[in-house]
Amino acid sequence: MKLVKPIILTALASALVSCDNFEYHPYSVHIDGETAVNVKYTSILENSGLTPPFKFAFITDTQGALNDMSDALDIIRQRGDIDFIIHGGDQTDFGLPKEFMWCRDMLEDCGLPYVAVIGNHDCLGNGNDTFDYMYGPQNFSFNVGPVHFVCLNTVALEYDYSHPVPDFEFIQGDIEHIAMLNHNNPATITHTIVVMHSRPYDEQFNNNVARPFNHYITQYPGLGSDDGRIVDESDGILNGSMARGFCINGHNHADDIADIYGNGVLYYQCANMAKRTFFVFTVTDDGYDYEKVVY
Amino acid sequence: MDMTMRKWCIKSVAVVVLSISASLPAVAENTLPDSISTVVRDAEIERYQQKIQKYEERLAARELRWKRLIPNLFTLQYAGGIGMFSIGPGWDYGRSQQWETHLLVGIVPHRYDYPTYWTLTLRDSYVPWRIRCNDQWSIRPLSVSLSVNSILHSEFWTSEPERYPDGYYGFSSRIRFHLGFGQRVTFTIPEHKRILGKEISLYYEISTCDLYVRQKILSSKVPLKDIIILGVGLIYTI
Repeated sequence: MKLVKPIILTALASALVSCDNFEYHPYSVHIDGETAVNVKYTSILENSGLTPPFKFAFITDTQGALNDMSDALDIIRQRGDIDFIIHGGDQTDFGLPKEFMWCRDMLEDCGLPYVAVIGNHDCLGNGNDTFDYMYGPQNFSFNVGPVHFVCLNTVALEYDYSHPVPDFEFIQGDIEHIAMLNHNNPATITHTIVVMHSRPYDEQFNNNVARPFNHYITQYPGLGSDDGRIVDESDGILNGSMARGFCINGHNHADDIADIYGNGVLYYQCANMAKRTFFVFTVTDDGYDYEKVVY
Repeated sequence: MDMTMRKWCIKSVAVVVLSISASLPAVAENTLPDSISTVVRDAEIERYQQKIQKYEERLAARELRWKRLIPNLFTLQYAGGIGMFSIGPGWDYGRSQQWETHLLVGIVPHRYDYPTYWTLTLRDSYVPWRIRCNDQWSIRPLSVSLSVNSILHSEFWTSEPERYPDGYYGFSSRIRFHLGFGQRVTFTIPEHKRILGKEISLYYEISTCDLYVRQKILSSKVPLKDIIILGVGLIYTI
């Protein structure tokens, strides 16, 4: 009988601690489910043996439009031809851990590998730390066959110059790594796709380094001045946009394709989820194709 | 000058001084009859006493006002979206003490990459009914509370920092509003066993916060159970 009281109390205490609804604060909840998502899925993609032609979907700026995102993911799953998904940031409105979990769980349920970059809304409150815990490093890169994906944090306004955004140390190291791969084994990497939330000359971007940013990313294979371009068939001369490299971004809640620097590097900007639009890119050996899906 | 001459001089001076002092008017004496003077003095005393009384009344009223600020409730809460543990004083008022105001300090311990946070909560509760089971036990079947919580850390702001264009986000990451519903069981301590307090109440509260409600309205895919926050606590009534 002497043991009954402690047992009941222990059971009660453990129930209080383990039940997720006993929340300490909306900005500090127990995060269950998948963590270090980007680390996990980049590793899966790199080891999947996937080579061009492959397709990936680019969705961005969920910001609470989970119903619309769910519909988009249903379409992606039903098509059956898409190999993986990239989320362009702003999964959340307020950077709440629960918002991150709602978005992540929906992507998990889709069953395809996915990665995500950080958006400005994702940084609010302690969202920056939540992103790190749930997705891993904010700057990362991975290769799918000969295609190099560089995923960058570009929401400089959120950090008020206290962090290097974009992080040129990371980009420089990544460029050197790719150059070394290609030096050891020519044409290991032929394409580069740069993924970011806000693009140069947005209010979020550190526009003091908009030109240096272009200088850096044009050192990647597929984005350099001597890389292949889409040939204008009418006069047969080499001009137009880069054939094996491009950038994708979200943030501005509108579709737009722009050659920001006039050097043939195209920025594909996708609208937010609430506008019920997403992009599908098909990457082939000698180029790529893009498709806008409106549902 | 001889001796007689000197004596005469001193004498004459003394006479002048004495005669001047004698010619000064006599000190005024109360010429009123005794009975009238008593009446006047009584009226004066009464006025004086009234003044003192009013002063004392004002003092008492002032003391009463300050006494109302002495908290008679003490709360300890676990979870509930305002901290792992929150503690603080409270006040009850109204005809049957159905209104309560609580001021709570909470702590949210370090977790993942988050630092330890301190929070402040101002809570107003409405507890309209009390059902007495016996002398000692009673149930308060409903409590409705509105809380304003502030998370005290520099990464959260009340109004947007200057670096943003005007109205960029349009919300405060620091201030959260919680609406909660709960129930209480109250134990009344028998008078001869009281040390400091007279009642201990155990309560639970089901609440949600402003941002969760907004996201749920925005999207039906948000699971209902995810926007529900539970908390339990004790209230010690003095």
